[in-house]
Amino acid sequence: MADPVQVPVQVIVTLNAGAPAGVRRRLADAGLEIENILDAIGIITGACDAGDLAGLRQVEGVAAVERDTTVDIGPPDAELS
Amino acid sequence: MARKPTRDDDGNSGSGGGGGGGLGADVDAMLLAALERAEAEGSGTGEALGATDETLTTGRMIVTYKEGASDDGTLANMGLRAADARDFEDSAVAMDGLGDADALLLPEIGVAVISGDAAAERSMGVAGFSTFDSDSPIQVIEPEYFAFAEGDAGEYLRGFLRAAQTIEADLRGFGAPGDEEDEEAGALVLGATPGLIASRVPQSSRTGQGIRVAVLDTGMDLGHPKFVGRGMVSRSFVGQPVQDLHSHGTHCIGTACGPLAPPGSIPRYGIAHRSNIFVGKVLSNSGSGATGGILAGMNWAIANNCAVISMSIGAQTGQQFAYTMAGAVALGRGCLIIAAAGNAASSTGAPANSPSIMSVASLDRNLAPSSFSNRGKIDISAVGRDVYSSVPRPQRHGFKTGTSMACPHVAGVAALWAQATGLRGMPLWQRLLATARPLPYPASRVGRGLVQAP
Repeated sequence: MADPVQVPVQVIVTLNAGAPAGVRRRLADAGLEIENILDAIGIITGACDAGDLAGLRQVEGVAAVERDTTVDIGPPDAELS
Repeated sequence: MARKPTRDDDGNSGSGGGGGGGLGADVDAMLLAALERAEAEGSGTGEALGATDETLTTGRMIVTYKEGASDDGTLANMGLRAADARDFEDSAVAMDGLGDADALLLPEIGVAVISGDAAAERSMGVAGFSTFDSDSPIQVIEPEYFAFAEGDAGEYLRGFLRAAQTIEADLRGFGAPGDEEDEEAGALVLGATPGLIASRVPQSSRTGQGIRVAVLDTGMDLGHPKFVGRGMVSRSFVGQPVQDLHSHGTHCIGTACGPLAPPGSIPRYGIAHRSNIFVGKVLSNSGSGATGGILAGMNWAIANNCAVISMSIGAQTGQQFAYTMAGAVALGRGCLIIAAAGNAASSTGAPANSPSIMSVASLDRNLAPSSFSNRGKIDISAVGRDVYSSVPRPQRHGFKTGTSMACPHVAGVAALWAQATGLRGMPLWQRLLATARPLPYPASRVGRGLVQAP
């Protein structure tokens, strides 16, 4: 990672289907500030320091930790949308 | 609404509770077994809804492999004796000629069928069988559902509906009742947009009635005069009101769910005109949004059992695991996510590049692939250039171009198929592909071809 460890980043945490019950607390302990729990699809979104990403990936029941990205479809009068 | 099996409920989902017999069990035997299963589970709990759902599963399980992945002995490692459709002449398998096989591989479509007995022995269909680790070639295992042709009741209701519409039209002074069906179809063919005509929408008697269609976009002009009286469920995930001050969302909803016959000289542009519209605002009025908000919108649409989820959204990134997982969960719960491939004349963007999400390419009006349309992971296509649909007041209607406009054509047609067949999730996906009109272009440009209405 090029980021300094304390730069906050928005992250998407995808859980395994059989993630253990305490996974949310362990994610919080590993540095995730939980913002949204998407129960139907097994995903937790939130923020953490860039330096905590590797630790979040090690939490049992976590399938993937990805950086949030921005989608942009352009202005209303864009030629293509 | 009927409940769909979920991957994490109390084990009541799927078909683990009873056998649908061997692979070659005939449909009547499976139906009988399903009814017995439903009766056994329904009694005592009094859960009529659950019992009804249970009767929709055949007891067999459908294994879907990741795109391009082959079984490579995975089923054998699970202790299953697998037959391969390629061992039969022309891959035409007679289900009663399979001997003692537990599973049948259908490599052409990346699917295997597991017999009811073998599935029951392994308690498939309960939590833990829906998703696999990243090394596994298996995308998902889900219950097989019965597909019912529309019966007499449906025919009767359609006749009733037609009569009511005729009376309504008559009262409003639009033509006289009589043998209207053919005339009406002819008139509609003349009065529909090129995209609808190419996908044979005007000829379809289906309306999307009873089907929930979610459109995740910039919102909707909730007061648009052509949508007055349409029940809309809406939610914003971007901290702005749902009201669409951009226009992209209103345009996409117009194509997927717009009205049957806008009065005046406006052509028909809406497909599933009686569907239930779920408006998820995941992009701001300036047209941008974060993946987290988009996933929150997907979660909302899936939790609301929307059979069709249309996402005219894309970013030129590689495959994102979260989207792939959300798409797989959606399919397991009977929700089909359809996304625009993107307009970069490059590789398909995310989320359409996830194998569990249907990717839509754009065609020009002459049915050639649009020059801007992304390529690679393409499943199906529809007209996306110069598409006429609704936009927010005061303009009300206008043209837009892009794979974003092709996507809601497929979503609207998917709602018609969902209504016509009762299919959901992966079986609905497969039906859309199987009925697409082949086009003389590579699959990397147009997928299986032009989407066609039932």
